[in-house]
Amino acid sequence: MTIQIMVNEREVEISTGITLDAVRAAFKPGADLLVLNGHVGDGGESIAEGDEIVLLRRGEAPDARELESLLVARHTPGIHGKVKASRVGVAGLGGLGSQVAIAMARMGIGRLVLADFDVVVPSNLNRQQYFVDQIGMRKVDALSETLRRVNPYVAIETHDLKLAPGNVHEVFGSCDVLVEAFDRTDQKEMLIKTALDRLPDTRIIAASGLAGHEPSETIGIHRVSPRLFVVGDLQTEARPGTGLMAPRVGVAAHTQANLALRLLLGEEE
Amino acid sequence: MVITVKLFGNLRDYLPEKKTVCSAEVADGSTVGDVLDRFGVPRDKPRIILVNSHRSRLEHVLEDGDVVAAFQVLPGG
Repeated sequence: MTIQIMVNEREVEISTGITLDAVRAAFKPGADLLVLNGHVGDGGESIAEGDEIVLLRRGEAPDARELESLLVARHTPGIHGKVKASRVGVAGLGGLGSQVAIAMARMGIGRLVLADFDVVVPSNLNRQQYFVDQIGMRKVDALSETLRRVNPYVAIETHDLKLAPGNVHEVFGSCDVLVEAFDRTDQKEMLIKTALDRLPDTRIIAASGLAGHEPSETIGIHRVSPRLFVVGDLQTEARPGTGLMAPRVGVAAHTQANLALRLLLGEEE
Repeated sequence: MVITVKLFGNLRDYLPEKKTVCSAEVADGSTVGDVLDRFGVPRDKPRIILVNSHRSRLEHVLEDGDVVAAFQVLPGG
């Protein structure tokens, strides 16, 4: 008689009456961390129908297929194929862009196209996804390093340059969605205008109005056209007396990221 | 002719009852800038302007049924 269980997110069939140790021996003999239904096991536990087992070797990174199945297991079913086939561009890797990129990597986006010409400075650490030991690094390099720690199998394309009307198409022309994540208004305007003019098949998610600590729910999504969306309150600008704070910038960044996902899935047409 | 005006965020303050969408009857040959003037919107505020979902400018001459959308780009990111 057999039962169905999940081992490292794959459904397998095993004989009844076996232990966690036997599963380890059958599927990953070198594993030294055994997780049975979310709890660390010692190997002697009896296995029952429907049990979910994760077998790991400490310090060993899972291979691409294994990591993908482990990540996808926590996603909403049915979306991974579309996400994996999609390309998202992020223009500006500051408070918005660094967080959007990490969210994209965690959900296993097919390709991330990142552009920024800046370096990490200490003041960035108040809201941007960088670390003290990355101060002085090019942002594209620092963020790529972090993204590879999250998911080494996401294809990352970096552009260490200042975006201008003449290079936006070259950098982001293949992207399904482009996230405008700049800080300065002149850069924001340039990117939105150029993308509207030169990227006819790309949806644009811009941001405007996310400074301070106003209520989270005031960060909204404004559908300006079928191809242009603006995230923010369109009211609160960064200026002396109203700073950029990690929580609200994070709300805006993840609103952009979630909108990107919804657009990729065809749920905001 | 009649056009539709969509102003987002802080620009809604210039539309009646601060609505996002408003219809307006304007003279033939009116430009986007003329329409913004009519509602008292300072011409330097709407940094991104679209007409019928295509990027446009203050000088663009409107036609009956056009939809004008605009918003201000604010610093911060």
